[in-house]
Amino acid sequence: MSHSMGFTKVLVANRGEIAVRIMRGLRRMGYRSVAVYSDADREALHVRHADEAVHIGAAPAAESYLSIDKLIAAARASGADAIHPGYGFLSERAEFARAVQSAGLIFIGPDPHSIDAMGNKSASKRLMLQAGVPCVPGYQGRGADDSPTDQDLQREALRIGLPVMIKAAAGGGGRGMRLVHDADALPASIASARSEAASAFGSGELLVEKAVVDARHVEIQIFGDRHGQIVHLGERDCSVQRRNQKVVEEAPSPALDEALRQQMGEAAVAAARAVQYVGAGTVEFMLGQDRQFYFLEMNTRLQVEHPVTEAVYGVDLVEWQLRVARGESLPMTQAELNARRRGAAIEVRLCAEDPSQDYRPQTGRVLRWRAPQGDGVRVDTGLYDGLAISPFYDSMQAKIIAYGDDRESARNRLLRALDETVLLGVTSNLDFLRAIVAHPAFASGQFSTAFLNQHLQQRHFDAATPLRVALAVVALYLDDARVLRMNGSAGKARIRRRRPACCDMAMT
Amino acid sequence: MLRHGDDLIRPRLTVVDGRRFNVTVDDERIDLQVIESTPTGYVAIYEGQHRRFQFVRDGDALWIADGQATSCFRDRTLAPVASAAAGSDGRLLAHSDGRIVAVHVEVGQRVDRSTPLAVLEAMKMEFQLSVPVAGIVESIAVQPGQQVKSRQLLVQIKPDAA
Repeated sequence: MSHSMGFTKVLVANRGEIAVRIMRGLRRMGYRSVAVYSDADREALHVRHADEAVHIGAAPAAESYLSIDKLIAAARASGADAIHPGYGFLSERAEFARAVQSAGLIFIGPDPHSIDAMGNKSASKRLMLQAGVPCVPGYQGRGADDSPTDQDLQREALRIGLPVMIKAAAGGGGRGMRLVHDADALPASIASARSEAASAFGSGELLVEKAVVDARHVEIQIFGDRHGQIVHLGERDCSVQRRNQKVVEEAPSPALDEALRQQMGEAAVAAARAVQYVGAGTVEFMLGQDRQFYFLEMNTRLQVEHPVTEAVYGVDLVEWQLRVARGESLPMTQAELNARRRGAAIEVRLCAEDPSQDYRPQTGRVLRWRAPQGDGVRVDTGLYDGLAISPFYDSMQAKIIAYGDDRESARNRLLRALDETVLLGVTSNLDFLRAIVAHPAFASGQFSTAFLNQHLQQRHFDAATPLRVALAVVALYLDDARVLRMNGSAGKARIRRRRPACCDMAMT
Repeated sequence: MLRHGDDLIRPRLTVVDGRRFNVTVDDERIDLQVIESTPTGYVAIYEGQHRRFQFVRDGDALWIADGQATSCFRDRTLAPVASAAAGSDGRLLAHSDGRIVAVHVEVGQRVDRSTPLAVLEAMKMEFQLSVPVAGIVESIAVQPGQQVKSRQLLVQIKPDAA
């Protein structure tokens, strides 16, 4: 460990569950933590979790979590000597990593040149083709000064053959992405993808790729250190997606055997090596029915779904990030990692959204949150009773992860954990998640990214069945009776006004 | 009277000795025997099985989790008569807190059912908003870039006479 790489206090430039999770890792490794927060997050859990907290601005992310100047100033003010970017926000912005390093602070992530090389989907695809990593047939222009126009995209889409994916070159998380089946729909899809990309990523640059039908989304976790070593920690299967955003993730993938795992692992390491990668990264692939796999993109950060990898390898990836950032060698070799892998883990993303209304985000106050407990169950979250969920940030509120000796025991454990989970006050996708994990097609392990469209068209789970109405009526009655007991005659008067009679009553 | 989404429900409750409950909903009768009750939930026997339910009240809202689904009912016992189905009166309301990205129409413009009227961004996603009626744009209450609250009026359409 070189002296210049030492640090003692880490500012976490993020919010919500990932900020809380990183702080847990910092505490475990003996580092002090600094939280940052916007106006909307004064009461957020990550603020309570940190040793110190610095207010950095107004609720819109552009004025707080996306403001490089404010984050550097917060690090200076608090005396933090390193910054962990988490995922999302500025985590994959090379200019942020550069600004952190120029300020004399340690950036807990890859070097800016690696982020640059992978940050643009078009440029990274050109690089991967050179490095011999298999890529999906498509068109991404010839270079940085030749990004495809609407006409180019239309022409190339028809040349490649429909269906195609239109993608934001600067994109991620499914935004600025459109699947197009019909030539007639091309102009509108290109226009809306461009507008969404411009507002989400500050760049409207697009590329077009052949849509690989019935493919799985399989990604490889890689890790590099400053001594030139790069290893992989196997795959995660993230094929259950809605609107190109992941909903359920698992390790290992039901579709991989040891030979394919080794092949994809080696391709991922080659991809990382091509950009001299340091730290935690993820190489995403599409895996076809024919076992052909294609490079999609590389995420140059810790991934949302990293806990499933931690579960099957028994490692703490935030600890690894901290060790690599302070100049240590990777804690384990590839052979040691391969020998450690054991069991299966499945994660679901609990989001404040309404699956029955096209996944519309929901805001409001959390009236009750009960996380599931028990062996083999992990919950990463920023939720607590009374938290106000604001419209400013991502709708994901918690990740529930179950581990087991094999996939079926992990799945059963997850089902039981979801039955135990309670989130009242804000509509969430909890019931939807339960339906996915319980579905026979999910249980079989045989599915593609089309899973939700093929198997779960029905997304309305809270139908007012007579039983549910009865449960609600009895709850109202019991609650009224309790208020009446507590408040005596005053409560009685209040309830009398509300209900015609206590018994044999007609609630009309 | 309870509201669930857009549906109004008129259940009928009979209480026997403070523990046994018969609820009739749409001619179907549900029998529950409550064996334990706390401020946050209760345990009841339904069809021979012990089941635990968690609930919480917030104003007229009752949230209840039954292990299969999470439901929100509104107690409309004292509420005024419900208004028309969402948007059918020509009022485009924000479906959640968020930011107006674009307004696609002008005052006086004729619109069809489901013509995109405005785009709302919430939690980093964009939503095309429309109302299920045809008519003339009467007024526009918001501008692009403006933050809006859930159920805030965005655009008023004067619906065509039926």
